[in-house]
Amino acid sequence: MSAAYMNYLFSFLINNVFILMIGMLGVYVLTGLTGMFSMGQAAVMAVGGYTAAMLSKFLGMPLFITMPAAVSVGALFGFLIGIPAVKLRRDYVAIVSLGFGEALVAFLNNSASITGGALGLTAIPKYTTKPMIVVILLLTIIFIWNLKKSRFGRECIAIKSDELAAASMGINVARVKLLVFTLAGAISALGGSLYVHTTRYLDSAAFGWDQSSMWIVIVFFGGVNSLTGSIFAGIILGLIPEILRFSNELRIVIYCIVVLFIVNFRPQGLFGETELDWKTMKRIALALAGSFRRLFRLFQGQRQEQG
Amino acid sequence: MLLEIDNLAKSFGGVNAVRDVSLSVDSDQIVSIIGPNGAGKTTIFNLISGIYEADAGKILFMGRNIVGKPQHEIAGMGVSRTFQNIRLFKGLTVLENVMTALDAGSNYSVFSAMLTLPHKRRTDKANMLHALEALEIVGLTEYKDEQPSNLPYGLQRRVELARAIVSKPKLLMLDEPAAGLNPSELAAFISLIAELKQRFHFGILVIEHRMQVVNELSECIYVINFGNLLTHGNPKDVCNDPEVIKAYIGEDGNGAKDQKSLCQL
Repeated sequence: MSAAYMNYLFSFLINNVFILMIGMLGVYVLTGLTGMFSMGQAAVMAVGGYTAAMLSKFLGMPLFITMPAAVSVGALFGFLIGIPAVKLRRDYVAIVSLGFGEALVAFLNNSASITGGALGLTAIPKYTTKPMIVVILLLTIIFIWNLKKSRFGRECIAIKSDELAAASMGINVARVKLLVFTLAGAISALGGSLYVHTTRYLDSAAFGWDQSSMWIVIVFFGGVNSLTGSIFAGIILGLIPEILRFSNELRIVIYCIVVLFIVNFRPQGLFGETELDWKTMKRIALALAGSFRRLFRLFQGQRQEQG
Repeated sequence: MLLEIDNLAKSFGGVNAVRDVSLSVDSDQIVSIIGPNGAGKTTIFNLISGIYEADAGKILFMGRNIVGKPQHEIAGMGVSRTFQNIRLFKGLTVLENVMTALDAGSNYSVFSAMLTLPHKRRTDKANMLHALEALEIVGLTEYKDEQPSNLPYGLQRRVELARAIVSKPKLLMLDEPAAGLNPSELAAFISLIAELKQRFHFGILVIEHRMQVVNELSECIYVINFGNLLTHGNPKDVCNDPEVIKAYIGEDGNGAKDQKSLCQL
């Protein structure tokens, strides 16, 4: 592997995988924590992207305005999807968000005078640097981690597990769901604003339901409750198609086989419900050390027998 | 009076699950509801906790009519319950399961949660101590970090009990809490409930089939049959009531001759 290729892979990891991962984290909050399927989350990311792109391209706004603006507009759209969705049963939420997302993408595609239509928006100012993307991703992860470890995380998991019991614990189910939709919208739109300021190009066709369902695959691949699992899965599944680029069409097949293997043999996801935190890492380290010691002793015993 | 139900009725399509039931529970009192399967006992619980809305009648909790109020508000007023088929939250540890009952009452915002501000840390710490206290009462401190699905059935029931009492409710509703317990577990359970009542003075409403629990604990028994209130009174009178025996054992069955009282069941 040449150094140039490694370099390319590294910048692909940050500029593409990491940014899409921020969009995916919105899906993690919605689907992983709260158990609601959003098939239109990528459209919310596109909305954030267009907000940032138009503010910077046409009005010359700097990043510290375009990014918060994108986040607020994303939160607003998340809230709007949430209003009908909280009144519906779980399976219908997927349909509503699918319709909403596709309608949004179609609208952006057809209002060519503002958004550039199918040609997309080009020459968007580049504001981001690689360290900046990494820092923003890390901050987002820390925020979501803290959220999971707070009353909101517990309420979300309770709602996912059993809505009726959650309500009888005094949890206002509709309010928590609406909050989660809003939050997920904000997170995904944040990813959208980073996307446009990095790739400098935006075409709404890339944010249809296929991207949204890809994110759901990633969350399930990593383990539904596990934030670290989703991040791990996001990196792996983001890189596989790129690493396998030499094999052309076969890469899609390999990708699907990897996903199907996990779904078949580990339906709870790669990490299941455990987080890769210090406690788990310590446990893994201890278990590894223990098995090494046993192996070593076995080896010694054999040598003594021989001697 | 803590809870007063007047002429409650609820039907599902053509089935009159609850027809005309009136009952009352006072603080520091244990009241039992008994009746054959399908009599409408759990429906009464679901009506009180707001899962269903009553068709007719009033449910007064501390003097306020709670019919039509959403579930979480009723829970917030101090009504907590356990479920007939255990409903613990998957994906949360035993301790976190108990903490969820307190989370709705804590008031820190999303932002202080994301930034782990001091206010959030203080609230969560206090809630955790309360939850640990509740787990200690039911004797589950050592299992606090387990997933509830890894625990045996009897212990899962106790986790549900801890979750129901941790918020210091005014009315505690237990739906068949002794189902599936063996005799020694049953004795321990009865003394636990008696101890809880003495300690927290809440009104307790119990649905139970095991007559030992009903007779030893409750001061008043209501008998429900086909959605109607058959009779009510103290355990001794109710057990010897011929109507009740008829509802339970049948009129001319072999059991009726030998078994003169439900107290011996």
